[in-house]
Amino acid sequence: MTGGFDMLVGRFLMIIPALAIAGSMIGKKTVPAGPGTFPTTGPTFTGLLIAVILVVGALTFLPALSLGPVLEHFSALAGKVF
Amino acid sequence: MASPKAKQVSLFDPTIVRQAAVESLKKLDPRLVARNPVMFVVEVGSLLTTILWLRDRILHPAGAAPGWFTLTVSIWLWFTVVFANFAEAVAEGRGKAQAETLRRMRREIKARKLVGGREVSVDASALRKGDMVVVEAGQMIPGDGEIVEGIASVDESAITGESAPVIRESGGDRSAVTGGTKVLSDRIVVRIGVDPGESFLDRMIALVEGAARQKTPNEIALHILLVGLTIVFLFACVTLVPIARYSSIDLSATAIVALLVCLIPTTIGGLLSAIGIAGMDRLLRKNVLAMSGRAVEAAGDVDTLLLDKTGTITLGNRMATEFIPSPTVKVEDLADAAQLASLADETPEGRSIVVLAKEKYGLRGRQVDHGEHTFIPFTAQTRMSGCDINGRVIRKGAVDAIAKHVIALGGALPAEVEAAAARIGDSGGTPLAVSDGPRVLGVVHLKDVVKGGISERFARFRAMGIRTVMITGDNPRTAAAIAREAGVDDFLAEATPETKMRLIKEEQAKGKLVAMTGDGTNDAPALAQADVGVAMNTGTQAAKEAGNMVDLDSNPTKLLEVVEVGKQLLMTRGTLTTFSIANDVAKYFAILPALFVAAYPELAPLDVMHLASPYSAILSAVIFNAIIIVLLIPLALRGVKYRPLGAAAVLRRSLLVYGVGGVIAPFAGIKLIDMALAAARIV
Repeated sequence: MTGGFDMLVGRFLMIIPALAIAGSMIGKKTVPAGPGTFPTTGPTFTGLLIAVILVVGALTFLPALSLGPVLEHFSALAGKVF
Repeated sequence: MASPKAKQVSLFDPTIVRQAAVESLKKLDPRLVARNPVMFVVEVGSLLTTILWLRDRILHPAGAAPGWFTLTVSIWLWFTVVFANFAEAVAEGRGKAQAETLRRMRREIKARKLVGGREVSVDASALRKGDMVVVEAGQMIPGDGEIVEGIASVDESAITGESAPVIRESGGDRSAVTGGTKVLSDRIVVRIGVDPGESFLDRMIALVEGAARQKTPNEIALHILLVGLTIVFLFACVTLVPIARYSSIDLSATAIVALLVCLIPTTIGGLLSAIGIAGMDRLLRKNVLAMSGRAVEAAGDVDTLLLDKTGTITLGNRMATEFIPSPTVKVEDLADAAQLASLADETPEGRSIVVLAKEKYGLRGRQVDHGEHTFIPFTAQTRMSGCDINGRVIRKGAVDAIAKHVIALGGALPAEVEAAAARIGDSGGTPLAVSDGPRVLGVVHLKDVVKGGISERFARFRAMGIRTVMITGDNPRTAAAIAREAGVDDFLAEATPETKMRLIKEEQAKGKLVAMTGDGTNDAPALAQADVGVAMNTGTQAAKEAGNMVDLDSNPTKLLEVVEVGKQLLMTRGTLTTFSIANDVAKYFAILPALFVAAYPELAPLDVMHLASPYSAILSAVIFNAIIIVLLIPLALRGVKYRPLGAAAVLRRSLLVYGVGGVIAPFAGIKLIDMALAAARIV
């Protein structure tokens, strides 16, 4: 019951800010790209995006993970299984 | 009187640091800290750990963390808040030092108010908008206003730092005077334009002191991001408690608070306002007064610069550069006649002819007292000037005017001269014909001299993606030639205030941010419309009020520096945010093993730093977190080194230095602090 609620919230509550961002984007003018524009194609952007997702994701979940799967992994290596 | 410009405050001036230290404690007031949500969380955390320490002291509950640990953690948490306050206070202090200089000159000035034609002596502070006052040589102008009668030379060094007096006169674009400046000669009647407390000087003081500071849109956006991150980390830390309890680890509240504070972006959160203040301060150092932080930010995002040709791109006055004689005339004779015709001509063009003739052909400016001579001044009707000397009738003027003149005397304009004049016109110069009686001797090439190094500067702007547009009243042909020489991207010829306004609106409709400079009242609408409008201090009150920056030196080239400071501000903010978040990775590796290894020794491989003990690990991370704020204050105030490169190149560089560096630096920093703590046997 609570699990189901959490899944609902996790799935749909996050849509609200995303929609809000999309909404504010509509109102914005399109700016033509120039040398002063940061290109969103190419390795720099790809690398940056991946790094941001990884770092922010890791920062959020690492504490909990370290007590779960990470601990289990090291325990298993030490020959201890739950 | 010391001018604000002359006062160069060093980065850590002892008086400023002392004041800032006191100020940073005063700023601990939760109502002030609450304006910065990230630091507010830290303050609440420090309060919590302090209370925990007191509770432990009194109640001695079982299983509590050691008292010294809770105490030192809470002390360092308090330091984190204090350091952030200190950063802000130092930034403000630099402005305050400048405001102090300004305030000194706002001492009580007596004004001679005109009431029904009679003079009444009143305090300057009692003057209201619309009052008329008389100011004579040696007296201070009691308030901002406009000259309605008379002309005077005014010492404005108190405001501009420029010691040369300026001429102010009624009517036209040079009628504005500023309170606190001194009349050096003559008598003027000034209509006061502002009520007390709203004068330019008052606003300047309020601005440099940071009293009128509001969060800029960019700062608000960044704050939202930082608050978002803080909330995420708050959840991550709070949920860790029950998760750990399930694994039968009892986490102390102190440790969790320490973890939280280390994770939330305190570095950028603490330095954010200091960066903003420092940006305005850096502009002030360049003698540009930004009316809001928003204007500085907009300057950093500018896409199009509208630059007035005269004064910004060219030296301002046309200079004679060449004598081109008629086929039968010797060049020396032409130079000689041109010099004679210009001896009484006090315009910069006229003087440049005299100088050129002297330098190139060794013709000295002669005394023409002997012999019969009359100087003929320039008039709008004849469009010529010159002199009648010893029977010679020497004239110089526009080519068509001289042609008419010689034809009337029975001469003719040689085709070669006409061709030379057309060539000069095509190259962006102005031809000036010289005649002696009915004979045309040749033409003088008057040229708009483009400032040295300006085209390199424009090239740098192009690399940054900023388009430069030259605004000029010249005809398109001349404008095109100068634009080509100066290396601007585009030009607007035969510009009027209306066409200027239309250009700004067109650019803005394309989604671009536009910056411009202006000084006249007819510039005011365009200054108000532009995203960054830099008004010249010599300009009219209307122009100064319409713009969002005032250049105290009235140097239009300053716009380029304004853009650079704006860019630097945005980059500093970006790099420190990156650094702050990248730092978190190392803090995890310090704190997480410390929390769990005792219960689960299997997690030891996570402890890559091999810190002395769990307590020392947490403490080192907290100390590093606090100290890094202090270490970064100089960077926040000075701004990151600015390089005129494209966005992608700049970003790649910053990511490498502050992103990768931000991941590595704290590993070293925390380990060093841990070793120091262990060596001092604190842990």
